[in-house]
Amino acid sequence: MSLEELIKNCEKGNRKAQEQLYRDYSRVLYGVCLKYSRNKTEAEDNLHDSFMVIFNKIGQFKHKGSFEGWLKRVTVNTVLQKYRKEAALSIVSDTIEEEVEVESGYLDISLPILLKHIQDLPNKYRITFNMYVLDGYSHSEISEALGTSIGTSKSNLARARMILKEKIEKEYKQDSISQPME
Amino acid sequence: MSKKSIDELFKERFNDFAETPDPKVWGNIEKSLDKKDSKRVIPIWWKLGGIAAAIAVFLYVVNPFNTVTDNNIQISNTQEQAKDSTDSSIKTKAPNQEGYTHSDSQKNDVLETEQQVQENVSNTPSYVQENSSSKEQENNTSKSASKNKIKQQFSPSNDALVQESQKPKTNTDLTAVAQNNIQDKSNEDKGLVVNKEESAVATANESKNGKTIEQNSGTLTKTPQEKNMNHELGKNVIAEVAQKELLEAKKPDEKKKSILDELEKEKEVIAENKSNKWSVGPNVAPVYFNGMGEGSPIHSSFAPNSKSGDVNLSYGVSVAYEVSKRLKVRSGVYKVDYGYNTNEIEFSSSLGSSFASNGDAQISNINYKSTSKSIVVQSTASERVNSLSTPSFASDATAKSAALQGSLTQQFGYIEVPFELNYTVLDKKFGVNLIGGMSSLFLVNNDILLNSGDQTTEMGEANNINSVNFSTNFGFGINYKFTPKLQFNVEPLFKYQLNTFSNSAGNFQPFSVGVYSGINFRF
Repeated sequence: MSLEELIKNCEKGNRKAQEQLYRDYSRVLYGVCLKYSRNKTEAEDNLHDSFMVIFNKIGQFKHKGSFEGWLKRVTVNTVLQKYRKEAALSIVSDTIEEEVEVESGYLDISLPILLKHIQDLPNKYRITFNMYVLDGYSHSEISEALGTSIGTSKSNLARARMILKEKIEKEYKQDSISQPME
Repeated sequence: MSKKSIDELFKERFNDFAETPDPKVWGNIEKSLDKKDSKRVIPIWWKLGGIAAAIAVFLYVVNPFNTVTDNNIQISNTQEQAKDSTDSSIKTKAPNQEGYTHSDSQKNDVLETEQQVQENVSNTPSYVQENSSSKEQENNTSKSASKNKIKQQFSPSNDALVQESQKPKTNTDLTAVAQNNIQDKSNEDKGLVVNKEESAVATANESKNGKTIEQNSGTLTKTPQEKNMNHELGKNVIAEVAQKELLEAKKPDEKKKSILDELEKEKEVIAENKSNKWSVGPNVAPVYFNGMGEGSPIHSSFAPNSKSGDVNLSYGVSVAYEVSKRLKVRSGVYKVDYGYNTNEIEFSSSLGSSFASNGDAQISNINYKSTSKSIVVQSTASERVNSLSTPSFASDATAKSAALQGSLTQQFGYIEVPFELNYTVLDKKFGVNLIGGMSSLFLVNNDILLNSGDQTTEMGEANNINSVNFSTNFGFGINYKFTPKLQFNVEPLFKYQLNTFSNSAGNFQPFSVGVYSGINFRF
């Protein structure tokens, strides 16, 4: 079944096609949900909700851009619905640093640990960091999506970076007790 | 040891991040889809419901039962305004886009620089108190300057596109805000769907980023400026496509949505109105009429004859008032026709007015029409010659030979005014009610017909039918609510007639059974 056929059949409500679509894209979209959610359970809920929206709106996909890109956007938007209100409430922080650097040796920190650090961020920081750093949204797009000012978005990003840096360094120091740094 | 940007660290690790979800997620999705499918069965009623809703809205506007509250009007107006603003913001998009695509690229450069300066300025107040603020500003300024330089090296159309992608965004911003406001008011289910849809549309702009990130992921080693440039380039191309796609998709969809929403909301608002205790609706029913017990209202000689009921139509309007949550009092006006047949009769023409004049051959309960005065009707049901005419005539060979088989039909039409109590047993989407009460019936039509084969002759009218009689009614009702304001009823009702006839031979107790179905609108 070609992608177009698959989409058409999903639109008609064909269960097999829907299942196929789920099998093809659930991994990627679950990845999106894991990044944007606070934990696994919420990520699963968000994945469920996202697929419900996707099956509902699949007829609106115009076959012009990438289908996966469309699916990701729908997923991000679905997740945003949940955290938007909280994420919008933020006082513009004083520390705005564009670049937060850590030792490149930290690169070997495992993915699950990094994911945990992201998930542990407060909603507004997590969403901003994900959107800006991992998914390439601009500050104006983020502020638009969250209904905040660009300044707030920048501030949230800076705070997110700082928190992540602290966590990674703390993690690394714990590791370096057994594995001393060069 | 070298330093690495925290952004790079995460970007590298989360590039192509995917994970298999727990199988139960699909299970849950399937369940939700099943639920949705079962809801889809309803559309059988949608056409009917749609017509009824249109009538309901019409009746609501020209409401004879209640005054239209200003409140409702205001709400629908707000929606319209919101809709208008949405529409207008969409409209303004198109000219912007065109304008910038065709305008001079130099100008656009200038514009963009101005915009970025503005952006910096708008950000400034937040950092004014900071020591680092000046540094930050410098940073930004130098950044935007270098950005511009790089851009100028590229074809002018890119800049035009950058501009283009920025301009409309502010518009979608407005749209998003306006729509969010509406959505807050609407109920959650709808809100979610609409909202999700809107944001999906609103983020069509964002689409470019999904792709840019993929494109950018390979260029990690490049300088920030170069990356910036790439980013912008990727954006430009996709942004244009996304914008057009957006415009195409958004215009018709959104209009439809907002009209539907408006209708839905209007209904809800009406439903919330506390004064909607009244309901009214048309009803129609096939009614079966027959009598219990042996007897005949026409003549005692027909008492042993078999009777068969007729199915007629009853129709009218019912009005109900909600006394309490479970109890409704209802009334209405119905036109109803009853009829039944007395079988096993034979008839012949009498010898003339001699019989008619002495009345022996005539049935006393019938006022004969002048044209039917010579007809002699008698029963063939029993061997007892209980004939109306004298036995000698009944046994007369010539008379018998002239007799034809047939049946008598008695028809009567009433205007029925019921007064019933409706007790709600179950008040869900599907409701169950118990109904009991009585009706006053006013006689408007009264005929006795003689049938033979295909021919029907009107004999006259019964003179023993009361012009007003009563019935006791009971039954139950099942209703299905399309909306809180609109429901469909099916009500099988049994009506036992109390004093239909002033003198009936034998023990003829008429009753009727009807399955009343109709639509009810609440006010």
